[in-house]
Amino acid sequence: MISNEDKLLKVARYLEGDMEPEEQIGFEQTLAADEELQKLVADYRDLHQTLKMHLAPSQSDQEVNEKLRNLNDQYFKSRKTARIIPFVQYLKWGSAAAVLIIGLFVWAPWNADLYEKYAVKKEMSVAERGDGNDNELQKAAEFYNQKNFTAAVTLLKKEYQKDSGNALVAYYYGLTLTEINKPGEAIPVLEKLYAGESVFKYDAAYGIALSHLKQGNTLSAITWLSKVPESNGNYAKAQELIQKLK
Amino acid sequence: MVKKTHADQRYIIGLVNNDTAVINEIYTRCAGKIKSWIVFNNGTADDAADVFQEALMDVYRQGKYKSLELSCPFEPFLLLICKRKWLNEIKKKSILPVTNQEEDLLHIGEDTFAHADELENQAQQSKIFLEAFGKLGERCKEIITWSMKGEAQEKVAEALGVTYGYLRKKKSECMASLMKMVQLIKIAE
Repeated sequence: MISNEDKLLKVARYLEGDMEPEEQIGFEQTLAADEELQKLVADYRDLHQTLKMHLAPSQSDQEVNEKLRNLNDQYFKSRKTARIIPFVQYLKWGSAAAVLIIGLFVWAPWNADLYEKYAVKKEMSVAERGDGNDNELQKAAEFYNQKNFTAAVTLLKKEYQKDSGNALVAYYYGLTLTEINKPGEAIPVLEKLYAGESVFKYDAAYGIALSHLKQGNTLSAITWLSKVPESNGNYAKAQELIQKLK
Repeated sequence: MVKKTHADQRYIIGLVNNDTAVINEIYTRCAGKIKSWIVFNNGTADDAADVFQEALMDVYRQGKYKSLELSCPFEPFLLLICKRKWLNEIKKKSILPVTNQEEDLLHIGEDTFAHADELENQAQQSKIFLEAFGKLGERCKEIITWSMKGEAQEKVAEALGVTYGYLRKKKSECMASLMKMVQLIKIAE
């Protein structure tokens, strides 16, 4: 009679593909008639898959988790709403002061620095699906992550024209347009994204604010920044930036 | 008896394939309900978000790694998992739930309970498997971890500085030891 240990080793060798063809055929014949062995094979598969899940989570597991986290921002917004700082506050200071401030906003010599500081630093990551269509997108992501925005924008534009409903493409296309000093083109792309219900909805609001900031349009930047809810990853930056723009 | 797969299996497939439209649909249908239920039961919107994400990841992993086949509708299944998770959580925090659980769950079918039980069993099993793995020798841990990454065995052998033949033999031995360890832990429990 075979010992439990020997059975375990045979099951392991069988499932790890470590048996010679003849031995494998013999094992399969025994397996067909041996319920205990069948149970061990099922247990082994279960153990193997559980370990795989915990020891070597795939890139796609992380991507799903990330998507859920983003959706949580959208669907489980905290009841505390973001503090909106209306510009009318300034009017309390008197119209002369307000005019002066508006003048400063239009001129806004500090906006360029602020843009650099508050631009989105997150890398663009594209899920590999193995079909040809994603290669271009992956190339675009590489360029984007290398901060080669001029190269990225050409590819992203093509992808966007192919499928303007792809939220990931729209989001990074918008950000890239702003990076290459075309905030005026970025805004409609991002506004369309904001109007939808994708996971990038509130990231788009932050992106639109950045585009307005780049244009020196501080008022609109503040308005868009205040649309970023507390649950969004950009909330802290948005609030900080609002304070600086005040 | 083999049960018929429910049409809602499409949610499991969508989740496993990271399909944005399907995942959005899950959120639209279920997120609000879970949020209200958890907030009603002394939780916050953030608690609800955490529970919801955790439950969906559990379902995702079962679908991807354990080929979960749904024989019940998806929504009550997911809601039941979330509710159980939150009830466990508040038990830890010694907060009493407000909702009458029995009454609340009356409309849920038997299969839904069975699926949710299975998910909990799997979580329990995972703990045992990982405990057993922790008791293996360092070399075995290393070999198993590398093998799970799905790299070519030749590459793994090279990375570990062993021959291909040795790696194959050792991997089966390590996995057999792990199975033995799991058996021992289960007997001891």
